[in-house]
Amino acid sequence: MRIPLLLTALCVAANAGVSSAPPVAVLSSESAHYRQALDGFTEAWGSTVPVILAGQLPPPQAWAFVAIGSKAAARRWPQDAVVVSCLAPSASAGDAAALTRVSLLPDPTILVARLRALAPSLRVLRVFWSSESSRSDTEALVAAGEDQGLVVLSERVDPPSLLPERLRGLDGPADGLWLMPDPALVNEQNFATVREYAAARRIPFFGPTEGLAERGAAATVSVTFREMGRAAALALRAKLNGRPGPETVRAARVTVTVNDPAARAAGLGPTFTGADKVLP
Amino acid sequence: MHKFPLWVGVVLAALSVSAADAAEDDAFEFFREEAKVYTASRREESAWRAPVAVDVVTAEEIRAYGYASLADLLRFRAGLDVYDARSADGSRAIVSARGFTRDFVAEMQVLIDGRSVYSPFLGGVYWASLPVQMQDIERVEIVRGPNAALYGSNAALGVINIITRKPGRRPAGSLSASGGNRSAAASEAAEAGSPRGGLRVSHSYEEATGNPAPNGVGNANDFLHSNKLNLRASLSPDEATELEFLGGGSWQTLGVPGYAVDTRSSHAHDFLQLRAARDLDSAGSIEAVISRSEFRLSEDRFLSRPVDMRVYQYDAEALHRLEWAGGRASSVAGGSWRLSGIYSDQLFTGRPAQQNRVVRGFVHQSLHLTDRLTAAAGFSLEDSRVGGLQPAWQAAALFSPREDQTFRLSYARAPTMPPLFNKYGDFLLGATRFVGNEDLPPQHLSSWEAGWTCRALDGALKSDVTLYYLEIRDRIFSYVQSAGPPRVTAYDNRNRASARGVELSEEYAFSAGRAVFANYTFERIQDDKGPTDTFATDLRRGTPSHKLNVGGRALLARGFAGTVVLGYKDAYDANSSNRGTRRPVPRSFRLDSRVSWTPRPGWELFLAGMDLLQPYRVESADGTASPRRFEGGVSARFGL
Repeated sequence: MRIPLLLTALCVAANAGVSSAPPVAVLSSESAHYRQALDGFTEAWGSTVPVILAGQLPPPQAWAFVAIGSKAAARRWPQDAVVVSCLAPSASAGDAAALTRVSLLPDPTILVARLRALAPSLRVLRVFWSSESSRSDTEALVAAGEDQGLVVLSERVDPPSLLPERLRGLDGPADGLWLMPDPALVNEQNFATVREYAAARRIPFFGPTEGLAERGAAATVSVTFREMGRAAALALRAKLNGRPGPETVRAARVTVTVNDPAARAAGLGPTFTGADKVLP
Repeated sequence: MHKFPLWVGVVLAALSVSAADAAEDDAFEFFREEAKVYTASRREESAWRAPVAVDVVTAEEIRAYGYASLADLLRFRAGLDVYDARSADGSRAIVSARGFTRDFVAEMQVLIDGRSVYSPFLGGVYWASLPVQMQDIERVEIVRGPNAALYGSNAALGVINIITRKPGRRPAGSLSASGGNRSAAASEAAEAGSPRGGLRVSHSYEEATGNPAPNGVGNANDFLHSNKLNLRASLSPDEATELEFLGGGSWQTLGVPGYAVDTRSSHAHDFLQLRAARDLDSAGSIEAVISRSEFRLSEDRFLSRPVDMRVYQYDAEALHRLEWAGGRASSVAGGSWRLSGIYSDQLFTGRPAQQNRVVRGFVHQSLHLTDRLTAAAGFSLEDSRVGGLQPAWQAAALFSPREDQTFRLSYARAPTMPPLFNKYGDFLLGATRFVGNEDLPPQHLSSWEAGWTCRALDGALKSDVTLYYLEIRDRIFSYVQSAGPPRVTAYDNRNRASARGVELSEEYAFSAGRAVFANYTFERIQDDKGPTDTFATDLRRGTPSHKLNVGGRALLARGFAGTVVLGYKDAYDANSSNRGTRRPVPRSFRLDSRVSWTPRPGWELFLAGMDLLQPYRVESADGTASPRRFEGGVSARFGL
């Protein structure tokens, strides 16, 4: 009689020990953007958490993780681990069946609504993407467009080096261009290519991170890295409380940034409805 | 009023500039870092931060410029020497980096999807006979300078890595047909797949009437009938694992010009390759490749008598890539085994079967010492029948004062194994007998290189400057051992040669599909032996001292696009060690241009002209001239 009781007590104690272990944050690197997401995560979680880099081993008892960055998300997780990834556009469930992903893309419904408020004449939006991991977000954006009367035409560019050729061969209408937050596609060269293309046709070029407005995109509709970290904390807490939620979650707060000269050159304005920031 | 000292103002101004730059860089920094993960999983590196000079030609460039062959693709690149030349055994191009230009450049390694296509027979590559098609090429990476620590011996002057397209995940295909005053070609490809894998099959056919005689008229017995077939299949049983099968072949009949009696050669080159790669989460990735290839040559009159030759090669390689120390260090370590051999009753009289076994281990380490300073080093130890135990190593330091600029300094030592014919050959040709030297040791190359790479204007402007000095000790040359009869020609290595040069490269993409480039190469070769080689090769004049290429491409209105490239070469002596001939070539210009029209996406009609400035131009010692060529054609791509 004593042995089962002892075993039960040990199991309860062990379980209590596991569930009380704090989540471990795994960072791809020490880069500032991953740190910003970690700050957001810590803020929403309510306390600091152990932090390791992608190449380091986690504490043996750790079973809940937030992976910040694709390199961090790509590691092999302990069996039954609960994992939420953010700032990891290349992440997929892979070996971690319980992976929840915080998307870089704002909620497509909100995104389409904010674009239409900003550009009322927007009827056809061309969306460029490349990696397979961007497919589901692109399809969500197409569906959100359909719901709100915006034709969103998906343009996959694979390999990314074909972007100029793809633009050259673009036929049919285009009232605006959107670059998905796809690391394979977003670089200085491709950005400049799309920006020049849009400028030549006087149509707005929209981007998914605020920094792109500073570089000449007409406007960006984005979620900050800190907000993504916050969303990761909320998703992880919900999962640990037995509410797994959807495989992909999105940060609630969206920021619209307008580059005034670029937007005016593209026929937007003079007032920018719904803009959170207007860059002179 | 208190005045700030001038230096405070200067510092503040500098800081404000730096801060503005940092804010601008932030826009792409995140994607750049994430893209590293993306590309690392595909085993790619950022070329502009490589420790040696690297030039990359993409599939988009290949299509825009309409390159019809690998020689055309490489012709206008910095630091390369490419000649339209025909060797006595049917090779149809000479490609070399940093001088030492001759029929077979034993110091240059050429890989197709990581598989060496270097011929162990004479050293070098039969370019036109390679089992790879232009339509399949995803990109070509041109590494100038030694890279033996990573790629093994014979990668002393450079490495050309041809990477072909993986099958896509949806049905796609392409068709093309072209014809002109010297050739006609057709190609087709189809692919399909799913997230789990895919399959691509491609075929091409080419028929060329080839080059006329040096006076520009008549047929110099230079013709080509070529068929190439390739297959590539991939399977991903899970997210981290990739299995691939590659196979294909090239079958050709060629005319060998330059002889009184028409000579015909046939080449058959086929291969099979299996590759498995797996990402090991935090432990990096592993990759294993095994392959087999065979090259068969049959010539009805190799100078005067029939020759048959069979060259085979088996390869196995495994390597492990790892990032550690929080991503500040990355390592590549691996080992390889190769068995290559040749069988020819005529070329290796009395001992027709010759083999070489190579076992190699290598490790390469890159370490980010600070945010701005990176050190890289590699070491390889190779044991082979022809070369014995040979080390190779390289060390480099990269300094990036800004995100968009990198200075590099490197030193490398690389061995070059003697080709099997130089070592074991025994070939009686008329009154001359060629005899290998079994005591011939490997050549040893040392190279010092300094370079600067810059990306400016949002990455639209790319600049690269490279200065190098290299020295080859124990350079192999031929000499007359006895006057005969028969006259005996043998090989020795008591020679030292050196090269120094400057390579400048600029590329500016000013908008979508519009780009210009310019590159300039200066090379100077010193050779202790001078023009005393039996085969009359004079390396000192074997490459033009100055080369300049300028070109550009532009999207025009209504679906039209155009490209133009102008190349200049200084005078040089065209050598053919294979034929034992030499010909002075005056300085020359070459103008290539192409106009295309895309009536709807995926379709293209084009007109192209090569060597437009003169009716013909001699650039090799093979007894032919490179004529002005015109081509036109149509291509259609579906789903690509």
